[in-house]
Amino acid sequence: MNRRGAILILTIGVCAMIAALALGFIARTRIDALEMSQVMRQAQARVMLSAACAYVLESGRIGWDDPSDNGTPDSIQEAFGWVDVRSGLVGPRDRAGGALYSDTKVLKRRVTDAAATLPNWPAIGGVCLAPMMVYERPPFAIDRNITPNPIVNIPAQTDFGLPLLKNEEPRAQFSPDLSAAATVAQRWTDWKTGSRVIPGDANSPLRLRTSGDQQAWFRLKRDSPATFVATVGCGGTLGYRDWDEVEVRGATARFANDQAFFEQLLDDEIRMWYRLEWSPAIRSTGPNYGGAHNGIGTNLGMQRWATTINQAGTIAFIQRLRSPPVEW
Amino acid sequence: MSWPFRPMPESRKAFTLIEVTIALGVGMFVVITAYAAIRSASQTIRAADRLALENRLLRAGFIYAMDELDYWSMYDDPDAPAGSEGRRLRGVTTDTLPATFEGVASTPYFPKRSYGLPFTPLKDLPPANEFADGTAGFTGLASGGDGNFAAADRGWTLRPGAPLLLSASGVTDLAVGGAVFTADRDRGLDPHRPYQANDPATWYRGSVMETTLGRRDLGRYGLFSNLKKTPLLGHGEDARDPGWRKADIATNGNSGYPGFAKYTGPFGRQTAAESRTFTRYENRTLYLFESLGNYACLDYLPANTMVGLHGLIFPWPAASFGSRQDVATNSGFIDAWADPTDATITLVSVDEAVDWRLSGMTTWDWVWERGGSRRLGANRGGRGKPLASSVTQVNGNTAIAVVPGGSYSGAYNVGYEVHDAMDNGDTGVPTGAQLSARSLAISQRCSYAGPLTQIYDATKTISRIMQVVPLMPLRPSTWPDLRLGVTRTAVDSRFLNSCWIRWLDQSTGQEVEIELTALGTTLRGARQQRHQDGGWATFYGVTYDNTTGVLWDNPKSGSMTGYSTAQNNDPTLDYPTVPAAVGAKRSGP
Repeated sequence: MNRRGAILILTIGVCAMIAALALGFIARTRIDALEMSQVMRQAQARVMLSAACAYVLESGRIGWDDPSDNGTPDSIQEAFGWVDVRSGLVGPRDRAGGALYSDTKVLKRRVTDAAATLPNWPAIGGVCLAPMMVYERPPFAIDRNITPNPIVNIPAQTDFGLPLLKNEEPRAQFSPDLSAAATVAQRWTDWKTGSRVIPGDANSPLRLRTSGDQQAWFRLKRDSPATFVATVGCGGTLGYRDWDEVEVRGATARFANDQAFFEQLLDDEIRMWYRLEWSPAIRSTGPNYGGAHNGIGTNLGMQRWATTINQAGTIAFIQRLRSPPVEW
Repeated sequence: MSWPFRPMPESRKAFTLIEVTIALGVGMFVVITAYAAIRSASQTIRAADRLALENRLLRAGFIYAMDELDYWSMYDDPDAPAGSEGRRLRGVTTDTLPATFEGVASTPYFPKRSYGLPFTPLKDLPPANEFADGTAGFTGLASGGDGNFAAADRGWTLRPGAPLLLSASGVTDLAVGGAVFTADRDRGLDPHRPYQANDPATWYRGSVMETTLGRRDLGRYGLFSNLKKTPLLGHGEDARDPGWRKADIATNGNSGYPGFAKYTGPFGRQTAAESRTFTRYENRTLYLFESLGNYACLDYLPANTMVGLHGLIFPWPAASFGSRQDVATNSGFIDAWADPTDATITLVSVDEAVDWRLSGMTTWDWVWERGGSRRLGANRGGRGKPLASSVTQVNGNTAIAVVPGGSYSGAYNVGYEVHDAMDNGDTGVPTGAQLSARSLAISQRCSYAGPLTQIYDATKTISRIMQVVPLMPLRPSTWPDLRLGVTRTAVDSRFLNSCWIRWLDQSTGQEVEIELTALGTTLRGARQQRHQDGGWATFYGVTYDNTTGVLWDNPKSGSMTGYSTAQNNDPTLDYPTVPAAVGAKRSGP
């Protein structure tokens, strides 16, 4: 008996058409995802511009303590700005006016160079790399629970509807493995140690969050006393300029000792260059002495005026560079 | 059986009616299902395509917005021809200086009455103001300093490229006398001189407790810092200055009058040799304001700047020296403030008073009642008692914006609204026409909205200051209409870059909008991106060198006319015409 497969052919054809449409749909979605990835990298790189500005502002004053002399008198090193606000000399300088930087050239540009030509950060000409990986649980982490004291909505309970503050807020973020019966000392140690590669070992590197492939970073090059070239990016190079720099800084192992791998990461990366200037000026509280905190006539509006935005300076200008400068 | 024999026909292969019916039904079901499947799939694909297109447009809008935040091209397109709309914010509005000023022939002295726009090259504006006595500023010798920029003066000045940063005397430079006055020589804006906290030329010396109209009971702070090296103390010497009259004070208090009381001077002035008056602070601030407008003033000035500037020079209608109501009726200084081209306005000077225009004049009732003052710091200090304000305060509850003034900004309506409020409008300008340079100059010197407590005010303000650009004017008719709106404002002491990405779906009529804010190039950064003759400025990549003082953006060789090698790069909008002349006024090496 002859069999004809008209229906089958028709069905297969229809299925094929649907499959083709689905394939197109998936391909489109895939392209969208790739394009969106670039947008996300652009956004994250731009966030790094804010981070770079914040770092410039803060590090003009803090972050220069030498832990080796802790415990001795006058051992906490703080600075007075990238241009010392007391003298106008190049900073950062400590309380006694001593430079917290060294102009000594210690870094080569290529491992094959005969001599070092770059000083260490924060000297003028120095470079600071800041890969902004996310720690799993950094030291002194704060619990991200923003509602530690929810209002009970069960009428049968005696505290129904009452805004009781039964739990402290904010709360420390402890290790999930920490015993509920841990002593205060154990809790303190856990809190200040954070999540380490070797759990509990404060000398072990902090554990990084592995989810996500968007690695944002910034790097700063100080090109004059108060100006910086800020390079911001998002990708896998961790902010190393090129393979030469990876080699000079001894970081080849971070890229499996594979230059081609680094170059591939570089190709997929977004980088933008800015120049910015630090200014020691902070927002003025103005003449409202009578309206300052705890002053006569204080009200909310005056409190706002009497509050400075920061105590570490401001950014005088930000300029996007249309092309990367020779030095960055 | 009969002959011929006819065998029974074989049973034919066929369907019974029931079979056919069932087969047709099943077949139809399959076909319809298949059709529905295809139709559904195609609709899904179409919808997905549509969404993908919108997402793609959204991404394009986002990228465009980020580029705009970095390059300000919607406000000023460096690649546009000179004089075209793309470079509309580079104009200069100039008024004729009065023939005489303070009884003597006018000099290129404040007020220069040439008003620039946010992207006006400084080379197109008159040079920075000089001292009233015609000197080139403190020479150092006259003020006790040595003026030779040698080691003793180092430390007061520091700018990128200065090779003399490391003083031989180290941090003890603060004790060096005379350098204070040397550092005071700068006029206007030196693009190579950054703000320094240790630089006395940046210190404010006014009384922050004294009102601009005060009687100086707390001291004559105008002697410490002034527009002029030798300010006249007390009431102005110009006979036209109405000052306050005792009768007015008895009736209205001291509010509403721009000068000192008539019976408080004039008391005379110091000689140049006697003077120890600083002048850079006032001149720099006022120069920025006059040259580039309100937003640039906030952008360029250090965050702790106090804008109570000694050296009040207020415009005054020639025929009106009567009561304050006369002033209001004739739009006296209000108009002059808003309209730098009004030739009927003359100038009256009261050196010791504080210029209210920046520091927070609250103005008269009639202005207040008509929608709020449009002046910087309008609400500072209470009505009639404006104090010296910080730049924080003048921006406390007003929006200072770059008014885009382009065809796509609704600028005509924008400008018209502003002018309505200011009683100064381009009333003869047809709808859709570009704002004149004069109107743009006025717009850049207004603050908007005041407290944004009413949605009407907020909406009106945003419509005034938003630049909207259709990103796909030649799109297929079925594609969504994608637009990008940008505002650049300083609100509540913060610079705010807002972007609106909007698209209108042609098939559904649905309008979608995403608003975002982000950090990007500041106005000063944008001006530094641009070549003063058009196009983009080119920078080079030589790093700073502590020994040679080579700038980051210097070429490796060659020298631009008027500049030493150490100052060489493409001239930006912030560079003057004659750099050597500015260099001569610089306080440092």
